[in-house]
Amino acid sequence: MVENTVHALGICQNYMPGQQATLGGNFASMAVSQVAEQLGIPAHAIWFYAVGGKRVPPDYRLSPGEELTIHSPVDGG
Amino acid sequence: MPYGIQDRILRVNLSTGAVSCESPGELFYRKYIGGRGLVAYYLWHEVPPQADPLGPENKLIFAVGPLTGTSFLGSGRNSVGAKSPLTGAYSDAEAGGFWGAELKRAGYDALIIEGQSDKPVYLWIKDDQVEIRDAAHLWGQKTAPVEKQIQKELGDERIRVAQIGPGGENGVAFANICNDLTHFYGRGGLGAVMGSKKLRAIAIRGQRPPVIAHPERLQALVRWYAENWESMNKSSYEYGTTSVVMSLNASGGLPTRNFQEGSFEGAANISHTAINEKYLIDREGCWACPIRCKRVVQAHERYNVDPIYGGPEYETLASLGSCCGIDDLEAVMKGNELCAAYALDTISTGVTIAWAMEAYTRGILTAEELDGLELNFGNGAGLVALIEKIAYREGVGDLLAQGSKKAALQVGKNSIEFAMEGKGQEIPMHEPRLKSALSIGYAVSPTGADHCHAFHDTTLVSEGPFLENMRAIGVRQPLPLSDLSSDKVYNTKQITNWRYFSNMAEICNFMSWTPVQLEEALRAVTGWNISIHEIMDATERVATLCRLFNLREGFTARDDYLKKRFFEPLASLNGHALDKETFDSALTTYYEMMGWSAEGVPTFGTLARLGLDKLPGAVHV
Ligand code: SF4
Repeated sequence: MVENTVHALGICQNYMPGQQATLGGNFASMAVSQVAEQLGIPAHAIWFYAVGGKRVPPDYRLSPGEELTIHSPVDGG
Repeated sequence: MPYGIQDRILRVNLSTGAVSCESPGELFYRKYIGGRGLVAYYLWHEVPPQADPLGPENKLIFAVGPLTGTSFLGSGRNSVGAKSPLTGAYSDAEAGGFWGAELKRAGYDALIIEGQSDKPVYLWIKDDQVEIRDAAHLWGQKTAPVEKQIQKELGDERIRVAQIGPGGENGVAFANICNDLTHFYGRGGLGAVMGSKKLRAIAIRGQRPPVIAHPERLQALVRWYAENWESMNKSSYEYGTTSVVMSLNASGGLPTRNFQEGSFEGAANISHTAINEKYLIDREGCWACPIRCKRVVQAHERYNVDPIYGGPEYETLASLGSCCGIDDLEAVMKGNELCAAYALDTISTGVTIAWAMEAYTRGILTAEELDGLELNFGNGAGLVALIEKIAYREGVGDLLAQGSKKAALQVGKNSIEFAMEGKGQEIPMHEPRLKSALSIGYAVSPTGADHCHAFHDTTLVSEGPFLENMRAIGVRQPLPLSDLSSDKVYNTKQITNWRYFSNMAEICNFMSWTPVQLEEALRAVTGWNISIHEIMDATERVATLCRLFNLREGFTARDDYLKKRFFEPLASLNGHALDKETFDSALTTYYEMMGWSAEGVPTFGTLARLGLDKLPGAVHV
């Protein structure tokens, strides 16, 4: 089974298991919003999802091996 | 005895050598709080209209806030301000580090530099002892050896040094001031003002910390943050702001090739992972902050990058990277190192070079006019060469050292159309076609376009703890990114004013303190019975004072513009463009909400409400 990789950027990382920025797992066929929910990232911390660097909608379903990045809102400082 | 503040303003006149100290009294601080508030007050009252920014009449003001130098987490900041040589307008800039805390602990809330020395000097401040010392041996050197030399000759490595570099010495219009080598008062060309005064550095050691009114209340806040910071700021520690490259790239709003595009094919090469995997060797922080979000990088291959100058943050990765079409991370890191060593603002440097790249691409500037450089977008070696030339104003560097607006006006051929600036200050690395409130923020900022002064819509698109916390300052509801309705304008006004407060109390914007916690911190430190309502009034007072300064200098509503490019479609945002009519209407609504006329002039009622109606010379309708 080819695993998926999930990256959590910005404040999304705070909610990841062990606060890891990146983790692997089998999330194939799950909607990206479900992946975030399963990992414990609350909706308010999420700006958008991207797969392979391209923005996808929350109901996008992952294929085996795809890389998901969960982006948090970007402020300026 | 006042608490939290020192009630002492230090004045040094470099023309006469006179040093004096004054106490404006506690009520003054209650009205202006500190930092940016003090800068605005003294610039309004003491810099005569139409003063030459690089002449002796301009003043350079360093100011701390009531929180600076206390144990409150994120309180290592201070402001610096002057009339800007880049814009001709009001200017201030803020930085973290340790220098501000040291100024406060030397017993001062502000340091006002007046006049002009006729030879290079530096200041040495040790509590009450203030010396103007010769700096001929320091002039012309990069910043790192100067800091080392000053600490050596004063015999104390704990001395904190704020200084300019060759950029400021040579009058580069976007030269900055640094402290501790890696913290920058970045914008507005304040380094050139310091250079015009022949003041190379200010060295400080202080041993008179402010007295806190309610130490136990302050400690309760400090303890809470210290115990919880890892669950709130882990990513800031790991990546600083560098992960923003990938977020904005995927969103379609990463400034690319001078804002012509919003996604960059080379983004991954200048990303947080690219830095952490190969170049990151350490992290640094500021006074009273456990997060240590600052990068320290090193490289030895195509370029030698010296870690003493820290490493690039997001704004630098984008301005020297994607905005110039450069994905050679070592060239970007070298550019960052040179900007630090010469003390140049990386945003203005990158955007000015991006303008030159576009001018070259369009055939407006030739290789011959660019000292032989084939200045296509993506030319990393060209970027590095131009930074050197700008710092020393050599060849085409002399043209670019004026900033993009003046360079474009000199070159002509309609190149002003793609000089990406607001009031003459280069646009920072946040795309207003993505975050529409920035269009208003960039237009109305008294300093010219600035991301730190503005509201970023992305933070308030959905319900959540952040919005709930911001309700304390009047924010009402989440709104989509592209919205520019009156509701969005109201959120913009409230958050923009709140950001004034960060720079008046002097607190780092990266910290997760809520408005209610900051109100409590101010009450604990000063003992004042101050409310968020009174704080918001103070922020509006200072915003209006900055506006008055610019009106007195001849600025009008016509200077609150946004460049034409932002009203053109951006392919990476599915062709989204800002609508000019909507922008104009939102700007007028913003004026109305601030109590200004349709021409952007405060009404008499506004001045009276803010206690500014007795200011001599203040215009109103
Ligand atoms: S979060 Fe970063 S910039 Fe802010 S005070 Fe801490 S180390 Fe300094």
